Amino acid sequence: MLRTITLRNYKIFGVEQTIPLSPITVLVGPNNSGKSCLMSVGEFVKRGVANARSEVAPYPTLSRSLRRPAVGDGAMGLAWEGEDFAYSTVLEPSGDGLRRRAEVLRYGESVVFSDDPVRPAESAGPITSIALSHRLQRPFAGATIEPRLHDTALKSQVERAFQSMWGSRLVKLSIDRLREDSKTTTSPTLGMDGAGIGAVLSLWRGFDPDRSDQLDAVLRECLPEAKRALVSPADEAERLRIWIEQKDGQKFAPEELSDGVLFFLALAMHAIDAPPGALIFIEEPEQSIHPLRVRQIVDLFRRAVAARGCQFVLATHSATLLDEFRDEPEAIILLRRGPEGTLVTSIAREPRLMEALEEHHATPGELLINGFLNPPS
Amino acid sequence: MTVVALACENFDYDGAVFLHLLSCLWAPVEPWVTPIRFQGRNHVLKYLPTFLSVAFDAGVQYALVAIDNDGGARRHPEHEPQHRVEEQASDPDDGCAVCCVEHVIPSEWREPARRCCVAVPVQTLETWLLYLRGDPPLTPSPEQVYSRTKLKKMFFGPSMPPVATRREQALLMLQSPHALDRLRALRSFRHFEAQVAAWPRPDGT
Ligand SMILES: [Zn+2]
Repeated sequence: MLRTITLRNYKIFGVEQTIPLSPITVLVGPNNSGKSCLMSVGEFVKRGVANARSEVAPYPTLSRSLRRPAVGDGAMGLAWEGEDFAYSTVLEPSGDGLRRRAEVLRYGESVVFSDDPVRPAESAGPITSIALSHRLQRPFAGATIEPRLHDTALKSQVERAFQSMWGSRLVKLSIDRLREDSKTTTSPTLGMDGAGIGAVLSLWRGFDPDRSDQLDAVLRECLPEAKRALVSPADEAERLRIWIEQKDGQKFAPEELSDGVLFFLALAMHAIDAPPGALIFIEEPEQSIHPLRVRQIVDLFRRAVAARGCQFVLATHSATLLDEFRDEPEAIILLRRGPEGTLVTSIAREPRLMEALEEHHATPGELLINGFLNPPS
Repeated sequence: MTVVALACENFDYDGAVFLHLLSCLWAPVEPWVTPIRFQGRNHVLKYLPTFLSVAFDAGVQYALVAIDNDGGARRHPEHEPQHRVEEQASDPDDGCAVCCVEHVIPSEWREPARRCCVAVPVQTLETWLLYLRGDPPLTPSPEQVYSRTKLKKMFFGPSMPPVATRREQALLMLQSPHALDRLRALRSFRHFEAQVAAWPRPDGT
C-alpha cells in the first residue's frame, strides 16, 4: 500500500506536492483543481515512465504531461512511498519528448538502485532503468531481461515498489459503454469506462465461481429485488449481454436497467476484480447511484482493502460519500488551484475544519455542501 | 418479536449492537425496516421528530435513539438525573446530549403506550467496547478520550474495516463473559439500562 504520491510539473501540478494516501483516499476540489490529473498518475506510470529511458528517442506523447510553463528547473518529478520503500524519478524535456534524468529506489536507508547524476555517489549498479527493466519482466513484453534482475532479492524489491502502480486502474464509467454488449475475447478485462463487463462476467461464471458468487452476494445484499447477474450471447455475433435476474425470475437487459443499477454493478465488479495491492482510481463513484447505496459502494471498497490490500483513490462531489470518512479525516484530500499549480492538503491538517468536525458536530459532507471544502483560490 | 425503531449513527453497526443489547436486557427485538438513515449528532437532533412521527404512523411502539457525543463530551456534561432538559437543550452545541434528544422527542412518544429510550455512550459506542476490551488498561480511560476519530481508531485500527467486520468485532466484545456486568460500572450504560428496565415488556411484565 502506498503512503504518499509526490508530483511536480505533472499536468496542472506545478510546485512539488505530496499527497498523503490512506487505504481509501477521497479527493475533493472544484473542477480543474487537479483531481483528474492525480487520478491519471497510475496510467502515466504504466505507459509513460517505462518508456522514458535515456537511450532511446524520447516519446513525444509523454511531453504533453509536462506542465507548461514548468516551475523550478523545468523537470517533472514523480515519486511514491510505501511502508518501507521510496521510489522517485525525474523526467526532463528532451527534443519533442521527455527523458529520464534520475531514478532512485530505496528501502529504508538502503539505496537499492540509483541512477542520479546529481548524486552519483549513490549509484548502486548497472540497471539502466528500473521501470523499464521491470516492464520487460512482464510476460507479454517478451523482450530482453536485464541481467541484474536475475538477482531475486532485488527483483522482488523492485516488484514490490511497483506493485501498486503496475496493477493500478483508472475507472471512469460511461453509461453508453455499460449498455453495450461486450465483444467476446480470449482474455477479457474490465474497461475503465465499463466496456467488457459482459465478457468478464462470462469468464467469472465459467472459470472463477468465487468471484461470480461474490458478485451475486453483493447484488442480493444491496439491490433488494436482485438475485444474480447473468450473461448470454447477444443478438449480434461474438457479443455478450449481461442481465440482472430478479428474485421473482424476471430478467432485465442493460437497456431496461437504470443507470444507477448499471453503475453499481460495474463498481462492484471493479471492487471484486481489483488485483492484490493495486491502486484503483475511481472518478465520481457516486454518479447516478442513490445516496444510501453510495454507503454500500464504500463498504465494497473497504472489503477489497481488507481482503486483498487494495487501495482506492476516489474523486467525488458527494456529501454522502464524504460522510463515510467522518472518522478518517486524514483520508479526505482537498485540492485547489494556486498560481503555480495544484495545492494539496487534507482536512486533518486544517485546524478550522477539524474544529468544525470535532467541536461543532459538523460532518465532512455538510462542510462540502456549504462550500467550506472548496475555498476560492 | 417486538419491533423497535432505531435512530442511530450507523444502522448496520451501531444499530446491530443496540438490538443485541435490547435482546439481552429486555426482550427479543427486531428493527423497524426503514430507509431513513442518520449521520451525526446534529442530523439526529434535526430529524428525530420526523423519524419518530413516521414510526408512530407505522404503528411502531418502541424506539431507541443512540447518538454519539461526537467527541464533545469534554464540554457536554454526562447526563445527570437532576438535569433540566430545557436548560441543557438551549445550547445544542454544548448541552447534555441526552437532554438535547429528550427535548426533541415528539409528544406522542411521551405517552405510556409509546416509549422512546435514549442511549449516549459517553462519547461513541467504542467507549463501551474499549472499556470491555480494556487490555492493556487504557490511559486515559476511554471515557476521557474526547476525539471520536481517536476512539474509533483505538478500537478498529487506523482504517475503518467493512461494516460487517465492525459489527462482528463489537458483538464479539459484548458476548464476552460478564460483559454486561462489567459495563454496569459505567454511568452512561446504567442510564441506558435503567430506561430499558422501565419499558413494559411485550408479555406485560
Ligand atoms: Zn442531561
